Amino acid sequence: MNELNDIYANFVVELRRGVTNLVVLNQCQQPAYGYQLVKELADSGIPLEANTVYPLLRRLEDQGLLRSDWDTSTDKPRKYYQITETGRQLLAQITTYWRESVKNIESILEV
Amino acid sequence: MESKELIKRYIYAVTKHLPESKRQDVGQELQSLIEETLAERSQGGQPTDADTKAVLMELGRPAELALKYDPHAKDALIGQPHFSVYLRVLKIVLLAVTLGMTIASLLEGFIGFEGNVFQFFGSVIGNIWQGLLGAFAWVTVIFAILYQKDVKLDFAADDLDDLPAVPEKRQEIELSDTIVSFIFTILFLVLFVVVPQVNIPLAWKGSGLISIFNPEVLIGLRWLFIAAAIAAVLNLSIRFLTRRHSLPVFLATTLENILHVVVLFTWFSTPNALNPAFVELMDDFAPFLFAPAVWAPLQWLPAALSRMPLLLLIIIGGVLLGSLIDLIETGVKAFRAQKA
Repeated sequence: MNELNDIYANFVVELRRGVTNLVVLNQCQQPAYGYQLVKELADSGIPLEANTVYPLLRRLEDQGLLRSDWDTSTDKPRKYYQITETGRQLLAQITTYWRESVKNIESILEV
Repeated sequence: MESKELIKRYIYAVTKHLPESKRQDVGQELQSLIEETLAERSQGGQPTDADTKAVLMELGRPAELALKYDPHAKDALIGQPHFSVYLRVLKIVLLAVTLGMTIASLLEGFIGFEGNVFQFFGSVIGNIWQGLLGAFAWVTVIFAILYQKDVKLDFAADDLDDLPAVPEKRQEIELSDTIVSFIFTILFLVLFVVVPQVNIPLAWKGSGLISIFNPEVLIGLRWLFIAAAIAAVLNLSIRFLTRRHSLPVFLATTLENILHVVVLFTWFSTPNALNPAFVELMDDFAPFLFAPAVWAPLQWLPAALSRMPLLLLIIIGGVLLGSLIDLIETGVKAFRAQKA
């Protein structure tokens, strides 16, 4: 039984890996900082660890899909991320792909 | 430890793994994250040291977090696709070294081992074990460097348009040929570099075997032999990895053959390249073959060659002919492959 649980856990990790990029990119259509994203996603039923989201934001920025700015106007300096034009184009493509995939997979899933 | 100090240390432990240019920014962002998480955890009150520890524990081990920031960082000594090639190469090298060291140790034993039979086999096994450890270390270090430095071993292109054509049978390089050549290269290294005092014992005289070549000359030229062996291994590596005839295979073959001829000529034109004890022993048997004398029909040759014992001249002639055939064959196959 433990083995099945392990397989299940691995399966879920694999499934979520690609989706995480899509979700985080989508949430940055408005400027957002890391902790805010973690909270928002958790409230939407998509719990992601901070140690996943923060490095991911940085990687998406390195790929030119996000840009960032430090807001130091308050006593809590925060780094805000926002989607770039390239990021928007990619998001549109991935969203279309995601919707088609979900539709197709749903149609073959019998359970 | 005080919370502030603990956070400072944690952030340092993460960022020290990152490129210099990213450290400060990532550090500030982590600081901001930790403070926000702590503030929520303590609900406006003063966070305790236990709170800090819990928050940092949630973030995970510093090295693991750093790895997430730098996904290209190598988290294995030798990862794929290098690992598969590493295993294949390691098997062949270990096999060749076992064979080479066994022969070398046995030869050394026959020449003159002082001790009983158990000590003798103990020393044979010890030699083989030492050789295997050395070979394992070298292959592992080389592949670790290749992997860490992203040196591409998979010659097949990733792009569909760049996929190479399936080689015709005549363009393929047989794996067995490569392995046999590799074993011969190792044997050559063992006989002439590892145990030059033994090299090839052809005659028996009273107390023991007498080697055909002069060990002192072999020892003096050992760096040339090693260079020739490296050229051979380079050529075999390209053949092993690509398994088809191509321009790089031709160039490596050319380099190897040139080095072989240079080494052979340098070696054989050294006075007393043949073991004087061996030449003396053969004096009654076939002096014209082993003695360094000018043989009348070959007077027209340059001095370095005409004074060479006939046996060595024959070997040089044979190697030159072999090299020429090898070069023409590899060249034609490379040319055909280029055209295809």
